Amino acid sequence: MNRPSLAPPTRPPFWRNATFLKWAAQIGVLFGVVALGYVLIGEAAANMRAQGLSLDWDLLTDPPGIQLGEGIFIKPDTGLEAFYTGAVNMLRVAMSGIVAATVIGAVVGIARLSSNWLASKLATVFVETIRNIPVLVQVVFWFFLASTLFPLLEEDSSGPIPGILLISRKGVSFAWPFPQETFWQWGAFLVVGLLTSRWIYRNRMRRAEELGEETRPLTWALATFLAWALVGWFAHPLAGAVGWIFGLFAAQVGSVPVLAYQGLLALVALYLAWRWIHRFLASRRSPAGLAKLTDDDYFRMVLAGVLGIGSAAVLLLWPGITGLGAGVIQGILEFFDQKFDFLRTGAPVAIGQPSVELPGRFPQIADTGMTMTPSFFGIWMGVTLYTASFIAEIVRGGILAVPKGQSEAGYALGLRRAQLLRMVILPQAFRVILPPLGNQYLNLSKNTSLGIAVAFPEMVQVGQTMFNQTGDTIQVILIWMAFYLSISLLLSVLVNYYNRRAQLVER
Amino acid sequence: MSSESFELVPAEPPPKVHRIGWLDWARNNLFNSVANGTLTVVLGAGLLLGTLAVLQFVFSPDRRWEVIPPNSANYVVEAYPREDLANAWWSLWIVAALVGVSTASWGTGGRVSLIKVAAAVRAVGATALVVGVLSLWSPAGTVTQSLLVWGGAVVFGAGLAMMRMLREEMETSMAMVLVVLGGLMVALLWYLPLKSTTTWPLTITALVIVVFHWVGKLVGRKVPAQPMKRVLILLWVVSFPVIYLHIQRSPTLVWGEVTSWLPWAGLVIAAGPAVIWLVSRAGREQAAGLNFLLGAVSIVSWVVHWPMAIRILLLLLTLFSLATPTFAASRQARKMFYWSWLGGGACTLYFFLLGIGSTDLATRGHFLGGFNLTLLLALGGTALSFPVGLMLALGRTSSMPIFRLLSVAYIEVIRGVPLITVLFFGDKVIPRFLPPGLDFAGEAKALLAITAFSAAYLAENVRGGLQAVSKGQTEAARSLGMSTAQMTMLITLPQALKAVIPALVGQMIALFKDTSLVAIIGLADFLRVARDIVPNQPDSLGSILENLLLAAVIYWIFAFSFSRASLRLEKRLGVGTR
Repeated sequence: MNRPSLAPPTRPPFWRNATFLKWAAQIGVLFGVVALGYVLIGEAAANMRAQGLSLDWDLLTDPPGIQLGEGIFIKPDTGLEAFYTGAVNMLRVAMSGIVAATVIGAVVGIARLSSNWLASKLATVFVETIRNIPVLVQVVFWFFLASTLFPLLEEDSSGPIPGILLISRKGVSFAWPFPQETFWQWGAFLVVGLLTSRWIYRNRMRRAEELGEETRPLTWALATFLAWALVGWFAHPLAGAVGWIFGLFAAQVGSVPVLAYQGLLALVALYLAWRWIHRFLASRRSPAGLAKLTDDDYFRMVLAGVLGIGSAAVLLLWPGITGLGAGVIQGILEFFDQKFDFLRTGAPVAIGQPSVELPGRFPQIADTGMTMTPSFFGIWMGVTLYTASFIAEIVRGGILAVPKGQSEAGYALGLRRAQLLRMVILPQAFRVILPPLGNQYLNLSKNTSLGIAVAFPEMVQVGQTMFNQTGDTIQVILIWMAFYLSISLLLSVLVNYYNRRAQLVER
Repeated sequence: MSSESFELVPAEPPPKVHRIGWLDWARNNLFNSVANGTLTVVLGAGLLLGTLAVLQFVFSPDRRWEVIPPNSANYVVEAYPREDLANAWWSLWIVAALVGVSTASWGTGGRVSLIKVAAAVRAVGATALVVGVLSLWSPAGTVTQSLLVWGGAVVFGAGLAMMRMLREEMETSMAMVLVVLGGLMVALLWYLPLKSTTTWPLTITALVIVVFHWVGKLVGRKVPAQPMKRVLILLWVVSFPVIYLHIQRSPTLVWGEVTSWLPWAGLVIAAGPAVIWLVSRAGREQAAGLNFLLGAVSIVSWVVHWPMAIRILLLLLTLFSLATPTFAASRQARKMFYWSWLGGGACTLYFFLLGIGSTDLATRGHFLGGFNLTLLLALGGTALSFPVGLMLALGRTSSMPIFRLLSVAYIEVIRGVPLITVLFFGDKVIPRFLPPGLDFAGEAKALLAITAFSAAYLAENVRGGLQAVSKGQTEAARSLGMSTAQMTMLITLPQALKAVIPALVGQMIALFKDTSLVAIIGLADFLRVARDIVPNQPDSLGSILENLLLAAVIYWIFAFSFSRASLRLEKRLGVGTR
């Protein structure tokens, strides 16, 4: 038999091997990036040495010699105190802004779909106006509005609503309940009340679903909570027992040697890496056996292993890290220990009256109400309304994403519009709304950095004041990055957690 | 089959359209339930009070709106030397000419019913009338108020009369409506007692649009539509650097500085088609050898410091010839490569001759400011971040782990920090990386920072599009024997980009709004003119709220019309509909 003779299979030369080329390119680029970074940092260090600056962290411990507009430390003694003040100010705007923007956004978003022509038109005008104007313009506008058009502060200023709201050029102040010394003890009762009412709500909801009878879960849950709150208002010294328990734990945490924690944490790190690799391999395994692993798969497994072993080594080699963690936990336990006492009595909450005598000093004392300085007012109004307009669109989109059959079915069952919205539409819309909503919260948090335009001492403004004094721009920018990245990481972890829970409900 | 005769039933006349009276309308839409009625009354009262408060603010004798017209040049170009303002007008006319031809080529939105136009006229008149009447409660009676009342009444009456006289089926072209509107604006320009030097140039702008629209129509009859649109897109892209790097900088060309390298640059450009031809005709090994040789020459040119134009041209030529074996195998594709090379090379040479040369315009170190700077940052940021974002998106979806890691790290870090920190990084840290004494202009650093910021967001948008391309497409490409580069450039990217056009336009709008942040790092952009520069001049001291409101309105007009255009584009592309 004469077969056409095939050339013997030859391996292509290694420089035509796809895997080789891929890795050569990647390592080349990685090398280039690292080399570029090395050269740039070297150049920066040389430049800074020439200007008498250095890449150290003295700015955190030295007295910065700056004054901040408002916050915990108005004249900070160290750089750390200044940044702490900025971070707390930023969180004040971000957290109150997130709550307000969510409420306003939800109301406007639902109003856009209202059958009332005026409501839906007004909501549309609000959204289209606010979201098409740069947020910085709005922030600056509200600031200058507050500081030029509001009434001057006189001796007898008390309006526009005496005892509740005071508007003046020095700030907007309103009555506000402030927690007192005994608030923590009452808080323990509130937590217990919350847990019990949740349990009762679930129980009664289940009974309603199983037996089909009206069980009024919401009323029952609310009544339970209010009962606990009422009892706690008078009986809160009893919560001193909680403090005693925390004290016991605090003593225990301190008595265990740091080495034990180190070993435990290192083992956990190794276990997590092993479990990741194990699960990864399991996911590549089909009934027919292990699939062929690509170089990418190997890279991932090696990376996981290196990360696990590396973090275990770091934990074991530097006891300080673990010691710091243990110290923080002990500190928290002791803090709680101090907040509960059988002998502490008095009302847990006091209402503060509006006053602008102390413009924006923080922490505020109970008899001065809550005060927004013009700077706070500007940044708060700006970012809140801007984000609310985006949230309104998200809410509207989420509601429109619920199929029409759902509301038709709801009406057919005899639900009223409010009931339909609460029981059928919103729970389903919530799933669509949640991921973009988390993005908006993140945007709001980042937009608080515009406080610098109205001299509101948040992170960026404090940082800029600092580097104007010291010239340590690189350090300040690294601090900013660390701060904002941790905030976004925290927020995205939270949103992902709720997102998973909301999606799990489905099936 | 019986021969039955069918009786023709006369067609019924179409049912009479029952016109709903406004009372019925209110009953259906405002008072259809007790709760809704209450809501209407409350909201109506709130709206009335709010409008009155705003009008009190606007017509208060403390407001100084009259400071705005004398500062219009500050708003548009800020510190640009007034004796050279003709340069700015020339750039506007170039844009106007392109707008004219483009509207002729793409159409202006078809035909509209005249009844709708009349309804719009009526609505404008009614709004002016209501605002005018409500403003009578505010302190000062000014000319504006009586103008609003009487003018509103006249326009409202005209709209009403038009609606009575016109019939449903009458329509006109959108272009006609726009011409009438523009004509009215120009007439207003001449009528208003503005002591302004802008009357003639703006009139010319309007005329240029009309004339070039007409020219575009004439040319469109001779030239097929598709190539004309391509040329127009190219002209739009090129007009941007021409305006900013040449016309407005008005550079001075010193021939003595360029004669040493100009012939060589011409030689490289002329040699380009020959190289492409050689590489495309050669065998695989020879092509690789040629490319290797070209790459080596291009690297050597950087090491031995040949003139910058030659280095860039050689680099470009290397890229072209590297892409040739994969993308320019057919005769037609090769032809496109020749023309692209010649065009790209000529443009590069042009910018080296004029764009990079020195200028005698640089007053106070910079010549860009006002709305001009805002536009440059928005358009330039979008244009520059596009290739970077594209590469990051491809890196993030790549199967190569180190590229993926680098892209993910970059994208997530940038998306996690506010823009202002990136701007501060550009402004304060970039100079630290450069040799002492060397620094970029603030505008260039801001543009770099905005590009770096925007690229991360753009990458995420493009990634969405890449993931939306179905797997069957890539598998089909593979089975046709395409390489990864061919698959990406010819199959995946075109589909992905088409899917994300609305998201990209949305991001452009966001970028346009975000450029206002450069005011914080001290650049004289539109917002800073409104916030710091005008209110701090002796003639207009303290007129900050007026100027901020003006800035808000201008930003709003641009962002709003962009988002409307994007909605129309979305509909036309049929994105999201099946």
